[in-house]
Amino acid sequence: MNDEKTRITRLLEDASLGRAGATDALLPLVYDELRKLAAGLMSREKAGLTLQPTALVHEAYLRLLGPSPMNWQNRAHFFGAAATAMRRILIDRARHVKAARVNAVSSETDQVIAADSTPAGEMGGTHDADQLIALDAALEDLAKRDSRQHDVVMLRYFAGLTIDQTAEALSLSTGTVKNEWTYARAWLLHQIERRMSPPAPPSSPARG
Amino acid sequence: MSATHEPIALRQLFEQAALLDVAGRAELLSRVRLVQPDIADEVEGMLRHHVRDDAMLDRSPLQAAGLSVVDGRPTSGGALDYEREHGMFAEGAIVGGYTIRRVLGAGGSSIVYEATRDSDATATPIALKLIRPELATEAMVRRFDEAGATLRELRHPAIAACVAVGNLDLGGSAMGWGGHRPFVATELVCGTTAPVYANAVALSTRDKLALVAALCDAADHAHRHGVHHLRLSASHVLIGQPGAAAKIIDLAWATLTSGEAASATPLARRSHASHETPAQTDIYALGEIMYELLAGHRPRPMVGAAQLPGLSRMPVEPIGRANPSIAPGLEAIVMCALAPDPARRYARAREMAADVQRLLALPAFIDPRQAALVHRRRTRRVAVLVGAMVVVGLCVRLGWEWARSSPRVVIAPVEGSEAIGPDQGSGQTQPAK
Repeated sequence: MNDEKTRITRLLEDASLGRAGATDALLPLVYDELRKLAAGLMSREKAGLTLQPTALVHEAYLRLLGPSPMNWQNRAHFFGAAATAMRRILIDRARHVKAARVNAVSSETDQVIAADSTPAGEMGGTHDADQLIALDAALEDLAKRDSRQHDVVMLRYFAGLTIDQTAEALSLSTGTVKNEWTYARAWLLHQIERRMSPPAPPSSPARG
Repeated sequence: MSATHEPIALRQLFEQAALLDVAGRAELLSRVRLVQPDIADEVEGMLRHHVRDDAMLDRSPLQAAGLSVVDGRPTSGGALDYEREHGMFAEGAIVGGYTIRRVLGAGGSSIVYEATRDSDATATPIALKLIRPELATEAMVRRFDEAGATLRELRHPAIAACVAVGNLDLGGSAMGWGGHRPFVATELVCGTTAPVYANAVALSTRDKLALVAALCDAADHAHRHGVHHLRLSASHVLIGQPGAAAKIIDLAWATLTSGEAASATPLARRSHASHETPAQTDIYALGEIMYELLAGHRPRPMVGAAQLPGLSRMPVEPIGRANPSIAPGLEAIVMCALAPDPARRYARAREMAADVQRLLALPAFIDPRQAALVHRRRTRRVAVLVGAMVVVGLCVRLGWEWARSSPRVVIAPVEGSEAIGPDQGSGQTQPAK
C-alpha cells in the first residue's frame, strides 16, 4: 500500500510538471479505487445513502494517499483523473442498467415498444441512465467545441467540486468558471434533450 | 450535430438573452429568428434549461447511475439541529443544496427564505418556501413530487416563475415525514403589493386596469393548466420596482397545499356549498383586488343586505358608491366579478380580461384626468371642424357665386345675349337667402 501511495504521489507530481504519460498512468489506479467504492454502493443501494461524487472522490483519495497534506496542484490532478474515472464508471453502469432493462422487456415481447414510450417518471433508473449516456456523447462534442467548458463540467459534475474548487483546480477566476458552467450546462442539457427526444417523422419539415 | 453554426454567435446571443426578462428574451429571439432561425431555436432551447435548477446536471451523477437512492443534495452539519431548536434554518445553512441567505417571512404552515441554489454568492437568489416539518404528510410529499412538471410549465409574465418543486430529502434524522420536506423555489420578487404601489405612485385608472387585465390573463393561463390559487389576495400580487410587471406569487404553493389546508377552512367549505368553481374563487379574488385598486379600500359588505340562501358570499357595497367617478361600464365589471351568486359571476378569467381590455380600448373611458384631457381635445377638434366647415361653406358659396356669374360672361356670346356684369348677377341670386 505504501509503495502504491508513493507511486501515485510521484505520478501526481509528474503530472503537475507536465511529464508525458503521468496522467495516463494515474487514471487506472484512481479508476480501480473508485470502482471498488461504487461497487460497495451498489450492494447497499437500498440503504438510503445520500452521496455526492465528491464524497466518493475524497474517499478514494484518502484510501490511495492517506490523510497526508498535499499541495493543491497535485490534488487538482487527482480530481481531474477522478472525474474521468467517475465518468467511465457511471456511464458503464448506466449502459448496464439500460441493457438489463431492455433484456427484461425483450422477454415480454409485447412490451418492447411500450417501454420506449413510457413516461420518464415510470422508467425509474432507465430514464436517468439514458440521460447519462446522452450526456457522455454530448460531452464528447463539447470537448471538441470548447475544452475549457468540458473540463469545468467534468470537475463540477463528475468530481463534485464547487465553483471555487473548480476555479482553483483549473487556475481560473471563479467568475470565469461560473460563466463557463452556466453556458455549458444549458448547452449540454439542450443537447441531451435533443438526443433523447424521438426523431421527427419523415413527413414533417426538418428544423435546425 | 452541434457545430452547424458559429459557437461564438450562439454564446453571445445566449448570454445577452439570459440577462433579459421573459418578454425581452422573446422579443430578442424573434428578431434574431428572422435572420438566423437555427441559432434562435438553439438559444431558446438552452434558455428553457437555464431557468430551471433541477436538471440532471444539478443532481448527483451517482443518483443518475442508480448508485444513490435519495436526493443527494448536501445539507450542512448542524443545520437540522438549529432548525429543531429555533423552528427555522439559520442564515448561511446549506439545506438540500440551497444556501439560506435570510428569512423573508414565516407563517403558520411555512417559512420563506431568500436562498441561492449554489454556495456561490453571485448566484441569482430565489424564494425558497418550505413547509413546517410537523405539517409534512405522506400525501403532501407525494403531491409535491408529482406536480413539479406541470407547475414548472406555467410561464406567464404576471406569475412569479416556479424554478423547482419537490421534496428536499434532509435525511432520516430530520423532522417531518421521513425527513422529506416539501418545497417550492420561485423567482424572487421583492416589492410592494399592487394596491400599496398604485397608491404610492398615483397610478392612473388606465394603468390600474392594464394591471388587472394582466392578472386576469395570468389567472386564465394557470386555470387552463388546471392550476388554481384559491387563496389569491392583494398581498399575493407584488410589484418589484416602478414600471415592472405585477407578479402573482405563491401560485404553486397555494395550489399544492390547498387540498389539505384550505379544505379545512370555513371559506373553502362555504365555496363548495355555493357551487363556486375553483376558477370563480380566483375571479372573486381578482374582483376584490380590482375593487381595492379603484376604490382605495377593500370591498365592504353592503349595509342592510342579507346573505342570500345557499350563497356563501355577502353582497358588497357597489364600487360606484365608494368611488362616484367610476364609470358604469367599469362598475359592471367589478361587480360581476364580485357577484355573490356564482351563476352571475364570470365563469372564466379570460371573460373578465376581455371586458377590461374592451374598456381599455375605449378612448378616455373613465379616468377623470384623462376624460378632461380628451374633452379639451374633443372641444378643440369640434372648434377646428366648425371653423373648417365655415371656410368650406364660404368657399362653396363664393364658388357658386362665381359660377353663377362667370358663365354668363362666357356663355353670353354663345347665347348671343347681352353680357351681364357680375355685380348685377350676384344681386339677383341673393333673394333666396
